[in-house]
Amino acid sequence: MDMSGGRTARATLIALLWFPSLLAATPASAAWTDNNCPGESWELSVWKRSQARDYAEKGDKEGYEWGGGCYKLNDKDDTPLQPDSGGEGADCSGYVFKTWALRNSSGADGFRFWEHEKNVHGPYSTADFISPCSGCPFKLLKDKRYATTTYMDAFVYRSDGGGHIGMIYSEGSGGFDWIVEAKSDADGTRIAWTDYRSQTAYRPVARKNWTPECFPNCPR
Amino acid sequence: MLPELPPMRRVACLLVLAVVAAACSSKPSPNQAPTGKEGRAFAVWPEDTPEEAALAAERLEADEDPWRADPAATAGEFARRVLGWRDPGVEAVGAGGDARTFLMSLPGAAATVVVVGQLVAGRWWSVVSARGPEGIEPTLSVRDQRLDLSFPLGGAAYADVSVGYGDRSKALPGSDGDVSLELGFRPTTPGHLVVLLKDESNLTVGVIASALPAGDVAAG
Repeated sequence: MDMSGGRTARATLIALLWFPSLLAATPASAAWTDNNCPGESWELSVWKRSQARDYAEKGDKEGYEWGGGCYKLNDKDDTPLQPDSGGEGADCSGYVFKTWALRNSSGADGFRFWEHEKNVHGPYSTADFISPCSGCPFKLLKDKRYATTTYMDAFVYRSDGGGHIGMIYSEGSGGFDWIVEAKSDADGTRIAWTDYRSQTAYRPVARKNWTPECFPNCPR
Repeated sequence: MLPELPPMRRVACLLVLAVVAAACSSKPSPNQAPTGKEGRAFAVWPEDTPEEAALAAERLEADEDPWRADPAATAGEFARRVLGWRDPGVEAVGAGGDARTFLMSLPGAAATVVVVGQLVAGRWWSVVSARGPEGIEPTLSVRDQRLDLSFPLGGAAYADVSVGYGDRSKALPGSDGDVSLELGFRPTTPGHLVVLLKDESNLTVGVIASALPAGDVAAG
């Protein structure tokens, strides 16, 4: 037996016992996002409504997290019954941020792709979407007629301290549309037949500067 | 690379290096904005930063607050000390990873979900979030030194709001649901937000309690 090695190990053990704060200084990892969000992001030059719709659809049936932004794409809520504790999903505004490929700096133009597994919410809340800043990469539309809106535009409301935003997955009729949204802790993300277009509190908001669907073969 | 050493001594050296590295990396310098996991949201209560939790571990080692070794008791103490509920009902409703979820109840108050995590030295529990009634979602924006918060009062008469980042905190009693607050500092540590919804008799009838990351944040 190597006695000098044994002495060193004993000295180390004693040091740890004398200074328990050295161990305690490393907090435990309790949040689901700590171990499930290896996603990346990168700049884009092209982002079409159809790409955004495909992106949003992949998030369907996943979890919801106030202020969150990370998805593990497996068609289930990985952190049910754990609201607001570093769990799976985005909230309504975070889901729009990622789907619209906005950049993570308030008012910044351009596209940035966020993998679903990237834990990012973005700088915008529903308060920002309903009152866009002058240079913001989104704007309010003049009305909610079907002729004015199209898919991947959104409806947003703020009232009595509450708020919500959901994107048009496909336009419907009679004041209804298929809406893709991060709904709530109870509902998670979903695609649902919903009447936001009919509700007076909701206002239409659209991302600016989508890449045309015809790109790169658009007629001159 | 380690020089050639007897196996026991090599293990001891690696252990010492790992402990020293963990202790050194856990504290950002005072004026340095934390990045990555250093700045992530930690907990609501009793401590909201890993540094405070490390100090608490030394007290807890000395058998102070033995209830922190039990997740249900920790949720119960939160209800008693923060919500002011004298004898709340405590029901375990879920567990996932290192988190436990409890449904707290009191006659006249909304059922409240409290999530606790074993964050302190892997032994003691902290409150990670609390929400009640179900579905209540505030809108929050922290930009530089300014915090904007709005939330529905529901049936409450008013709300007491408190925000803290480590040893710095701000309280705003008697809120109507719209809060604009100059923090007076830029949050460089994780923090917490607690909104107590009160009825006319000052009973806490609802709560929004969230851990906050360092720096700017948007949610809802």
